[in-house]
Amino acid sequence: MIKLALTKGRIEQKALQLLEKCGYDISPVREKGRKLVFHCGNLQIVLAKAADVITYVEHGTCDAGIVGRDTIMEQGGNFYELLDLGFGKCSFALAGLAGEEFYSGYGHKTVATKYPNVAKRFLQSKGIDCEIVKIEGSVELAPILGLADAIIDIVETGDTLRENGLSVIETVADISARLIVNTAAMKLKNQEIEQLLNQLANEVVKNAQTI
Amino acid sequence: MKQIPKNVPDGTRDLIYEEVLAQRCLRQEIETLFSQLGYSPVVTPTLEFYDIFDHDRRAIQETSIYKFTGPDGRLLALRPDNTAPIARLVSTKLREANLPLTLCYSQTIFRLSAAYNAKRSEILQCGVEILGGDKRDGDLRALFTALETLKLSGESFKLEIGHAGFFEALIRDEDLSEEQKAHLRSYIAAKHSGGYDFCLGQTSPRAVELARLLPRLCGGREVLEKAYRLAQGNAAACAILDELAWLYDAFWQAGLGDKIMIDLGIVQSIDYYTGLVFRGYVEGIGEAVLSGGRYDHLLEQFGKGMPACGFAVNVSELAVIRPVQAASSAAEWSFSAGAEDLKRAMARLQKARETHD
Repeated sequence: MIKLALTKGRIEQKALQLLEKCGYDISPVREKGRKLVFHCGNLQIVLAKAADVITYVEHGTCDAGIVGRDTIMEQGGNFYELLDLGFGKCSFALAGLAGEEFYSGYGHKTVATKYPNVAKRFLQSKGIDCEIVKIEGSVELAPILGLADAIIDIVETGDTLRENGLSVIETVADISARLIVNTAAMKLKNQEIEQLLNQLANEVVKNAQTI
Repeated sequence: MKQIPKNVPDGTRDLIYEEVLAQRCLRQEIETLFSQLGYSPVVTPTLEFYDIFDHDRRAIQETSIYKFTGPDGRLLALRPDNTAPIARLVSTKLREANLPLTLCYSQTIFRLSAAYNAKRSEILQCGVEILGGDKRDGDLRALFTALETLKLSGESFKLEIGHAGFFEALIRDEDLSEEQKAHLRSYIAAKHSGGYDFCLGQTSPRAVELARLLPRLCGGREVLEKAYRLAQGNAAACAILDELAWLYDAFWQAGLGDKIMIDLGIVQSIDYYTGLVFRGYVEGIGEAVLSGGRYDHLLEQFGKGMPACGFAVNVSELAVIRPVQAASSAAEWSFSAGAEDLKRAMARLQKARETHD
């Protein structure tokens, strides 16, 4: 049996559709109420917040998990990232007030973000010394209110940015949902993991063809 | 009055009663095994000069090492690893010894780890180092010792073997920058399914192919056949596969093969291992509990180059999943009656010693 952690919310819905197409009976999860653990044949499904999916998989209390690349990039950790599931697509972007040059000048810059690790790595790779301010809610406010020169945030359609007078300066990384697997489970439950991986991979390919 | 903290630092823990017994029994069983297999014990200091761990063949990154300044202003470290101190010892005090040297140890190591991740910063390791002598002999000896060590924890375990040089041999002739190679290594190590295209661009279709196929080369003997095809007559890569095939087949022919797996997707971001690499996994623990390999260039750093390989097993972690044995409750001893009680105590102790023998 494989213990699979799903990220609650949108990723959960898409992941369940995918598992259903793979032939798993996921009806126990559909009728969930407030439960968090479900038995679906030889799959045990656990629902958790994105960052916790990584924590559970890294510690091996779950064998595998489905989580966005954004959380993987922010949190890091030691696990295998086996498959791009092709849904939950968006990107990390550096964005600033439209018409303002971020890269020009030598003044010390400030960047606001909900993802300080991603921001730090990106700016370091560019050789830019920069203050990073952690924001919990709508990051777009920071440059508008003058707290930061730019933001690094998840961009899906770009509508929120546009409506607030911001525009993308540079894409930092592409994001989508991933299948991650605990390193020990990969060896100890090799056949079961390979089977799940192949089923999911086949469906992902089919989905990509229909789009 | 000063408030004394009521806790231990993050990553450390107290062990009480059966927790101590579990760790002690396991340690004794492993030490007995090592001794039966002809390894000789050594102990090195908990404190070493930081430089022992800070050189071209370092195994542990700077940010994971506890460091502080000694009385003479020199930088000291709480040992983050047991192999470098043993390499120091072998290339100084044992430099005249007959080779191969087969050494074993049981010592704690200390590692700084990120906050709130429940990782230990103090770990008891038991391990062996095989220095000098025939490489094949050393590899098989280390693997057999590792296999027997894992067996002490039960039947649900796997020992995976790979080679630090396989990936490097395959990309040697590709036109890639060091940065691109580093990207590729991290993707393959994480068994990443995609995303390497953007960092490699159109420069090397062969590298993209390797990134796609290497993470999948994990399993039994069939993996080696696939790998030979992937190597396409690359002499260095094929020689590496021959080495692994020899080891793998030796275990199968001796009836010990069912616990061994091959993973050619093992790549290293640091320049430490030079040949065989292996890791042991045990049911119930979410990370490798045993890890080791061949490190033929480490001893050069200490002025006496020789081939070497070894492994360490994480006894702190392995002891946790051992079936709990109840600690024997302390017998009643009374000393309030003075001489009479002392005589009784000596008689009881004598009796206990006789039954123990």
